[in-house]
Amino acid sequence: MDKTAAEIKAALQEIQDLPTPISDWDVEIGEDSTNDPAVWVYVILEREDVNFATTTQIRDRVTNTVETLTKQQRWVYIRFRTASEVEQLKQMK
Amino acid sequence: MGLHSLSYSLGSRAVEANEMSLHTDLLKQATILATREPRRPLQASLRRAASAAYYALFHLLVEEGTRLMLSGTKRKPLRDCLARAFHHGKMKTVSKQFYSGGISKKLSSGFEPEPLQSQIRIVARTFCDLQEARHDADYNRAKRFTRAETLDLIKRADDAVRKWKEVRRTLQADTYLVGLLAFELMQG
Repeated sequence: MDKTAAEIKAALQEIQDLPTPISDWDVEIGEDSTNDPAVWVYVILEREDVNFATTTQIRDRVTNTVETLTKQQRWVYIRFRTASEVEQLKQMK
Repeated sequence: MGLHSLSYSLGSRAVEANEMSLHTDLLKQATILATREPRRPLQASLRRAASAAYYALFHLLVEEGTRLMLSGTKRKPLRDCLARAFHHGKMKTVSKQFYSGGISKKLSSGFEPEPLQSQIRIVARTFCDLQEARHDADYNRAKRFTRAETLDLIKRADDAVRKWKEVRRTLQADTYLVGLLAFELMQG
């Protein structure tokens, strides 16, 4: 059975020992531009100075988690934002 | 001196070298756009940066693919025509195969049972992710980009270019390029 965004978020919150603190996860489910089933995971980073090696590690862990949970039925798109950027976006709205 | 005469005066070798560095220039442009407003980046800047990051990888792969068949300065006009045969959606379909491991026998029979090189898998994955970001950047008005998100996309494009250089001219890399261009036309 297809997993909901809430179920995927719950699984992501269970990931242990990530290399930098995560402020929050935002998960959206839908179809991508080529009409394939997809899931978008927005990783909200607490810190601003996170390097590429770290985001790569997190991306791999998140991809594995979501692909396992969804049995590779959805393409996983992962985007990184900082907590302060998310706050700015809220103010813009 | 007008732009036309300037490019003409560069000579064929210089023009070719210029084309080879298109992906590098696009990556530089993407970084400039993503960082040009120090405090609150404009959505327009971030969107163009995300798009440029995708096109850096796209043009690298198209250049490499056309050069597989047509090398040298004399064949440049033919290469330019052939480049127009690459289709974004079909390239994504093939890239998804190369990432997920479900490569069609039409393509994989040449190198099986060797496992796919991890660098090609990363390039394929990055191509799909950047293309989706490019689609959002160009068409999705509801989507908001952030600087961290955009810079990560640019770094991924740069990383994919580096990974590509590690494996280019290998049988698997050539197979990927052929698939990007002609997968649907190939007979099994």
